[in-house]
Amino acid sequence: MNDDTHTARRPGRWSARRASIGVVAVAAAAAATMQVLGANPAASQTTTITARRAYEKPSLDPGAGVWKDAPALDVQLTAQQTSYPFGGGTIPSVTAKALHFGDRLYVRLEWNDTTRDASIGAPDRFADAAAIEFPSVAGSTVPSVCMGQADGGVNIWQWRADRENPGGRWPQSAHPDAYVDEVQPFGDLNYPAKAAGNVMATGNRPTQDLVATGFSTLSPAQRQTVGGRGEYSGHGAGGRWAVVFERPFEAADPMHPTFAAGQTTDIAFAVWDGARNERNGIKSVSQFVKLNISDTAQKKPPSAAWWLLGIPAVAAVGAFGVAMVRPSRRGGGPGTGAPALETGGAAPAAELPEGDEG
Amino acid sequence: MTAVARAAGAGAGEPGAAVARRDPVAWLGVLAGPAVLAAAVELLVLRTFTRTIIHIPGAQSASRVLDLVTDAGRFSYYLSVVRLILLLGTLAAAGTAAGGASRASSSRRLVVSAAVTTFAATAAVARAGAAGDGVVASLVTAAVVAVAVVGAAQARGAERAARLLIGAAFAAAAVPVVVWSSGLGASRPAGLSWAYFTAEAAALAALALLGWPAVRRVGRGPGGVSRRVVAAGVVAGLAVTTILVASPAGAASTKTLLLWNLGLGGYLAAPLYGLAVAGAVVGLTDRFRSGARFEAAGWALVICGGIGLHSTYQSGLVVAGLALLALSASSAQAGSAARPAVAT
Repeated sequence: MNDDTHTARRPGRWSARRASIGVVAVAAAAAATMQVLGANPAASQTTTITARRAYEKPSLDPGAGVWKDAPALDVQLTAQQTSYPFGGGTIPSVTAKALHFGDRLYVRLEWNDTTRDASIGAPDRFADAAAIEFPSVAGSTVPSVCMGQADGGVNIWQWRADRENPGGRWPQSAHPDAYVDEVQPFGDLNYPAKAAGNVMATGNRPTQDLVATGFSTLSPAQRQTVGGRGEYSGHGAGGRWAVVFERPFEAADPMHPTFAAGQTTDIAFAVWDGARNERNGIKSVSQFVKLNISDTAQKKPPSAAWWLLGIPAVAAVGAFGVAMVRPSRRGGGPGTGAPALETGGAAPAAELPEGDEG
Repeated sequence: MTAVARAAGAGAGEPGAAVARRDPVAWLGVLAGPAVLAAAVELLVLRTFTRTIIHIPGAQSASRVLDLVTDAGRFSYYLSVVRLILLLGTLAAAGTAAGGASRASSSRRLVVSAAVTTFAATAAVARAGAAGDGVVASLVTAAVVAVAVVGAAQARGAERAARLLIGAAFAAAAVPVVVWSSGLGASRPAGLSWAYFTAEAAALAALALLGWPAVRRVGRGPGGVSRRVVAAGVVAGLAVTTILVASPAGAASTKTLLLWNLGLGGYLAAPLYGLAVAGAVVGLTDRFRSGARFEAAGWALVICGGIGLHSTYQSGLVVAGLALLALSASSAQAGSAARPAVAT
């Protein structure tokens, strides 16, 4: 018998092997129970975007004041890897905000981009773009972030800078000196995609409402109900895009999620930098984060009118205070017609009627 | 020699060794290894395999096999969670255990205990939904930074730098979450990308430094490090660099998995990732082979947890790993042959 074994048999001690087997058995039993019950003791620290009820309609203006105090989230992005063409990952993060108003959901994205790329007038020109993705059934099991899966579709809202810049689609946008000698005036006959009802060629929406249930299944939703608008500001290293998307809560397509106040769903983001030849699958993508469509109302900041009223009010109170204090400095108090400020406002006992002293 | 030293030095968890039932420090030797094993299996099966396989065309045809693997991955997750909870509880208790240590060391261990307890309480509150994201993110980050700083105070040289850097990496990666979830950045423009880059650079530097003490001791006789260990690190580093450089598809896949699993966005040059992997392989292998198993276990848990705030499970792995490092004194300075784990 060696010393260790001897030690292990002492009262209050177990052999390490016995302890290890005990721990493994207890842990396995506990883990199996948790798995059967679906009781996960860990909490996600996945960040949450909270969409409060806006105090006024946000509109599609990314610079609208209502966005200033909306809770924001900086979402990390990386390169897309799932399907060809791979790549991207040049935009490290996007700042997301969300609000709702009148049963419409508004999502605002903002990211740094050194160039405004809104022209696709040449084969090597690509536009800046951004997209957001929701599970088709809000709050359901989270589908694959990469275009969903067969039993878990996704709804994608994509905004592209070139679709806000009609001239950016013409060759002259890339080649200003190009000469166009003839334009066929035969309506849709010269625009087969438009004639075929391709949503890319019809309408002037800068956004597309898309649905997918896996790779290579991305297609337009039956009804295009997503609105959006982008705005580029600054230049060079200080350049940045801000884009607002909006859609009614109510679903217009079987693949659209229905939103409601008090609901939590998942949301993911993608951004393309046209200057770096990003298009299609070459993009920066995020994981799903939570979107909480909150019942609470956004606090309205005090308006300028309140300041205009407030400043004179404060001045008046101050002047009143000064007027009250000055007589006391001249010896005010009982007998001078001024309040007894030195005693904190309480009448001195000597002033009380005798019968009140008890 | 303290209880922590006895637990590691006596090889607790090995056949023949004894564990005092009411001695939390002795239980660390029993719990640390299985916790690392479970976390590694969870990382490989659940976070990597099942997240990758659904994207492979044709893999859906083997749905029964996939279902089994997915269930096994989930089980590995729950197993890892249970072992992590046991380890965290033991670490919290071990920090308060008496052990003949100096006053400074006792204070450090109390800080570790307080940090682990704070984390555990915060995780429980977060699970119950009783605290806001900002509060949870701030407290978890504070706990990680506290144990990292205490661990750094216990170490010297490259080990100290590595511990500080990994704490800084976690904190930097958490900055955007803390800022945005606390509402501090509501009216500010997007400008926190620096935090991701800082976190990435600090994490890679920490991992690279892990292997530095071992590299300095290559072939130095007794206590020296085998060239095979360094060769294994070099091969692993070259493999990662090749994947990141040579294949655009592979690079993108690797970066996505890096972000999903470990919180690394893949922003920096590919050789830096290779260097980090090489350092981690050499450092962990050297620590394990030279008997510094608490250190090896601690760093392995930190790597499995990754940087940044993903879930209280992953953050818990980091807290547990750094607490193990803090409770085990480091003698990882260059030239050290035998490196007993002592907490004095």
